[in-house]
Amino acid sequence: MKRYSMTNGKKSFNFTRRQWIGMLLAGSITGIAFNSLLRWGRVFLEKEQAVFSTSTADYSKDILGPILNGFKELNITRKEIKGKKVLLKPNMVEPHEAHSHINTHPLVIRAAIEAFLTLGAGEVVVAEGSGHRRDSLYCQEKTGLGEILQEDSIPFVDLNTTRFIQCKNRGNRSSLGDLFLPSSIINADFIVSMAKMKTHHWAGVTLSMKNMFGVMPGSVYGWPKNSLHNAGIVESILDINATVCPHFSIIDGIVGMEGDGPIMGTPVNSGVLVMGRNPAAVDATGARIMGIDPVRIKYLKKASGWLGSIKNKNIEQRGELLTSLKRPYKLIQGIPAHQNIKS
Amino acid sequence: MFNSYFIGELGKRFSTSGGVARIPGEAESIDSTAWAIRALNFLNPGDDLARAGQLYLGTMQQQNGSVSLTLDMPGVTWPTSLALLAWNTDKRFENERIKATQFLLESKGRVLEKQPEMIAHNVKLPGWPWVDGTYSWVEPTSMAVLALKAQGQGEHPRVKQGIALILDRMLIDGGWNYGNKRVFGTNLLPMPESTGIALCALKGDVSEEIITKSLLYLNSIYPAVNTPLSLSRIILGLSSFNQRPHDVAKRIQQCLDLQNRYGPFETTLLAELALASMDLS
Repeated sequence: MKRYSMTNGKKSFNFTRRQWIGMLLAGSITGIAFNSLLRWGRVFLEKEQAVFSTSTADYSKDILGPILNGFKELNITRKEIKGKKVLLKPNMVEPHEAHSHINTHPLVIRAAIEAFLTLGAGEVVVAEGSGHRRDSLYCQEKTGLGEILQEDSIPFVDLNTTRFIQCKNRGNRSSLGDLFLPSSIINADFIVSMAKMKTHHWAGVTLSMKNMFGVMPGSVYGWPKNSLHNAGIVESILDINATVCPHFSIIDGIVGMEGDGPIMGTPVNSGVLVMGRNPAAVDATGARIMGIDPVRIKYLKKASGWLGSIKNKNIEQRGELLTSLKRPYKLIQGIPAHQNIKS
Repeated sequence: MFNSYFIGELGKRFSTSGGVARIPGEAESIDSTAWAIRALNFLNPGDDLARAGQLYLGTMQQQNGSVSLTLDMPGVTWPTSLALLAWNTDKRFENERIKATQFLLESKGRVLEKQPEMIAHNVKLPGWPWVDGTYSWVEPTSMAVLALKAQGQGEHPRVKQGIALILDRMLIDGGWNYGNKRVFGTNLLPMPESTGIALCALKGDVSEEIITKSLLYLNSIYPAVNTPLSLSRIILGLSSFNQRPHDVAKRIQQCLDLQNRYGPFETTLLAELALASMDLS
């Protein structure tokens, strides 16, 4: 009978083929059991999070009211915000004529500014480091954001070129190592990710967590932020969110983008705003509204139980019923990140 | 008509070290310094501040000849081309120029062995990246081509590869963006700043019919663009192919007036606008 040997230091063990196969099987079963345990452990570890979703038909309607309602439902109080330096991070990846659905709408940004000032914020700044465009002033001019910020005397910070600081990477999932973050991000008291509801041809969806790519300075990571792609898109999303830890998320889904997002897709009038304190829970809710299963979005699955909650049962939905807000977004089957993600 | 304005504004931003601040009151940055010197070299040849800035850039050069974004970020080498343009052909900086030229000739962006189906551009062409170890993109490649040509390396195979990459990344309807022309079967959209700098890099190396659509694109958007980076790159790109607009002075003044809305422009923007204000062709 053939004998199989295993060496452990100086000791040598001999096994029969049957014993060897048995050990392999036992090992596999233990491995599977361990993985299942980890998976279930993560779900178990998910805390219950509240997310507020509300319909807003179009940008001509009141947006401040729904945001203030969301604050109330999510217990964002004057006491918490008063005197704080609030940084709003919209999605302004690249503006083009007749493609306003690429970027967070400036009227949603204005409403958020007013909402935080209403709660007594000491200062509100809008900050973005466009992923594709070097010309941030062009982005402001073309989207109309520049005019709004001037009227409201709100400063804009170009995160691509501003001063940055080396920070310990608290996620360590990617190969990025330490992160270089703008000082305005480090110095903000309350960071708000103001995303656009869009499909994404590399990540499946782009919502509040992917929006945080824009805090990484282009001067360090390039245009597009290719170093982040090189280090793993999913892993970079996780690292940035684990390190920056945005305090609040607002998704502009009043007009979103379906199909070949984040730039070349088509507009969707889904008429919804989604907000909450936990970005993973907000994104999971956004994905459900888009008709997408958040568990099938890699970055959300990996964030679950660590950076937040994505399981339906762990998210307390406030505001309107998701069933009434749901508007499935078109996906493109030829795009791998869109395959098998429908709910 | 803008010379004294730009000389004054850029001059104010030099520190005693010779470095230049991104905006007044901030610490100096390499790219701001390089752009300011580049502009002053044309605005006021022999300018003392420009000379101080060139010396400052020399102190920031790494052992391998690169000039990185900061001394402790040796992999972020895209400012090397800017520094080389700032040293230009100045004999006092011959040593620095030789080392930086050598670095650029030896460095290249990452290439792929296999062409991915979803990408339309040729992934095997090596240009220059923003950051070492990553892919080549339109702007760092254009800047490297411009810098190397200024050092008399226009016929070097690396420069020819850079030009080939720029042409390969041109969008089907003309113009360039950051460097992706088609993804998953969809043609992407052009951007003025990328288009302008790509055309500057191609000057003298391609016939006009190859880039006709790109010139048409810049001419078509010129009236509607008023921000400093895009406007200056449009003017510089069109000027490279003898299509300099006739109302440049008026448009630059309108652009400078935008500072009433946005505050003082960053140094790099002022410097590019200064270069656009001069007819260098």
